[in-house]
Amino acid sequence: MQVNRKISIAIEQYLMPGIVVVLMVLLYAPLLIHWYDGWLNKNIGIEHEYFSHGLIGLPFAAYIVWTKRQEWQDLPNTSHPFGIGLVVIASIFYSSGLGDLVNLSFPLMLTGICINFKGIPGVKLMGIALVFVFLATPHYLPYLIEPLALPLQTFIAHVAGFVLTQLNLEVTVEKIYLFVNGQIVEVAPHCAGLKMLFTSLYVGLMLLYWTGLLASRTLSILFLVSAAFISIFANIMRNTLLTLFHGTGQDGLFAWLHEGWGGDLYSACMLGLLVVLINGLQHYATIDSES
Amino acid sequence: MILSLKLRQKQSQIIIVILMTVLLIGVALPGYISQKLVWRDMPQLKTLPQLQTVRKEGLSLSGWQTVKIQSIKIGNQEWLKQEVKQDKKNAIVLLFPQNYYKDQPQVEWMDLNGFLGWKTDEEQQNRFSVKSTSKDLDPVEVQVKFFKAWTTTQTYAVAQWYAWPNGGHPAPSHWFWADRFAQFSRNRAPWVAVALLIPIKPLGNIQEVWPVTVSLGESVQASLMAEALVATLPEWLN
Repeated sequence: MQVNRKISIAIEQYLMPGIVVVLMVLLYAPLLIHWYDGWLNKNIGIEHEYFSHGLIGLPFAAYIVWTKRQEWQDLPNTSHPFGIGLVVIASIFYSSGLGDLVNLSFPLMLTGICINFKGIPGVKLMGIALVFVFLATPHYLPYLIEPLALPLQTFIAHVAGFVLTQLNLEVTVEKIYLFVNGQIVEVAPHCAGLKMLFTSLYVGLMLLYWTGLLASRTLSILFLVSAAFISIFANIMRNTLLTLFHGTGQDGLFAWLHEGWGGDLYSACMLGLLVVLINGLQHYATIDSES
Repeated sequence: MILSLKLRQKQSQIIIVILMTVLLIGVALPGYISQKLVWRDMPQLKTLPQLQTVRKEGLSLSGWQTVKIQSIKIGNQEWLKQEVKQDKKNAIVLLFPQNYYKDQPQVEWMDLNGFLGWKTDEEQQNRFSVKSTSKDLDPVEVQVKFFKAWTTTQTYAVAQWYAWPNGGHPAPSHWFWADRFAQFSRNRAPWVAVALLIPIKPLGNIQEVWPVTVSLGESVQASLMAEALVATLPEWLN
C-alpha cells in the first residue's frame, strides 16, 4: 500500500513534466536545429544572423534553468489562467506555418508551460532564462528597423570622412557615401553596426547575470549604455579602416576585414573589451560595498 | 480548498498536454513524415519568369511608345532603363524587379541617388489608383514619393515606389506587411522597384507634370499587374 502511494506520487510529480518535455522536444527540435544551422552556415538570411548570439545564449539559458532546478522543485504547484492563454497563442503561431510566428511560438510556449506548472512565481524564477531565449528568437524585425539606422549611417560616414581627412586623404562625404581616390564606399544598412550592437547588449546582459551585477540596476544600466557606446565607436573605427583600405586600393586587407576572419577578430576584441569593462565595474562594486 | 486548487492545476496541465499533442499530430508529424517543414522556407515566387522578362524586355505601356531599352548597373544591381514618349513628352522609366524569392526591397532609392548624383527638393507623398485586373477586387491604391531632382544637365520630376500585386508604396515596410499577409495563404507579394523621371525645365514646377506622372504611373502599375505581379487570390477563395 505504502509503495503504491509512493509510486502514484512519483507519477504525479514526474509524469506530467516528463510528457511535456517529450512533447516540447518533438515539437521544437527541428526548429532549434534549423536555427543553429542558419547561424553556423549562414544559409537563411541576414535577419536570422542578427540573432546568432543565440549560439551561446540558448545553452546559457539551459544552464540557468539547470542551476535553478532545486528552487523550481521547491516552488508550490499552482497555475494561472494566463498560462493556458499563452499556450493557445503559441499553438496558433505554431500552426500558422509562417517562419516568424513559428519561431516566436517557442518562447511563448515555454513561458506558458512555466505558468501552468508553478504560476507567476515560476515565471519570475525562470524569467532571466526566458528573456535570454526570447532575445535569441529570430524574426524579421531587424528588416523593419534597418531603415531607421540611416542617421547612424550618415554619422558613421561623416566621422570616417573626418578621420581620413586628418590622415591627409582626399575624402568627400555625401550622405552615406564616401568618395576616396575615385572609389565610392557606401555605408550600407548592414554596416551601421546594428548586429554588433545587438550582440554586445546580449553578451553584456549575460555578463551582468554571470557576475551578479544584474542585481544593481544603476550599474547594469551604466554597463549596457557603455557597451552600446563601445559597440558604436568600434564600428566607426571599422568603417574608417574599411574606407581607408578600399580607397587606397588595399583590396586584400579590405576583404580580410570585411568578409574574412578580420571581422571575427574585430568582434572578439570588442566583446573582450566588454569583459574588461565588467571586471572594472565588479572591482568598483566590491570597493563600494566594503567602504 | 487545496484539493480543488490541485484539481484545477491538474486540469490546466492536462489541457496543455492535449493542446501540444494536437499540435504534434496535426502540424509537426505531417511535417516529419513528408520531410517538408513549411516554416523552414518562404514560399517561392510564382511569377519569377515574368519578372525576369520585365528585367530583360521592359514593359509594354498603353498610351506610351517605347524609344529605347537598356540595362544599367546601379549600385551593384542590374536595372532596366526604358525611355518612352507620348506625343512630344519624353520620360524615363527605371525598373528593378525582384530577382530571387528571398530578395527584399532594401536601399534601392539610396542606390539611385548615389548613381545619378542628383540633388532633390520638394519631396512629398502622392497617390493614384489603378483598376484591378480581377473584377472582384477593389482598385489598387499606389502611393509614391514625388519630388524634384536635378543634375548639372537636367531637372526631373521623379516618382518612385515599390509595386506589388495589390498595391504600391515607397517604404519597404509596407511591402513587408503585404508580403507577410500573402504568406498566410502560402503565397508571396513579388515586388518591382519603379522610378519615373519626367524631364522639366530647370526651375519648373513639378505639380504641372503630376497628371503626366499619374498617366505613366498607372500604365506601369497596370502593365506589371497584368503579368509579373498577378494578384492571385488565396486558394480558399477560388
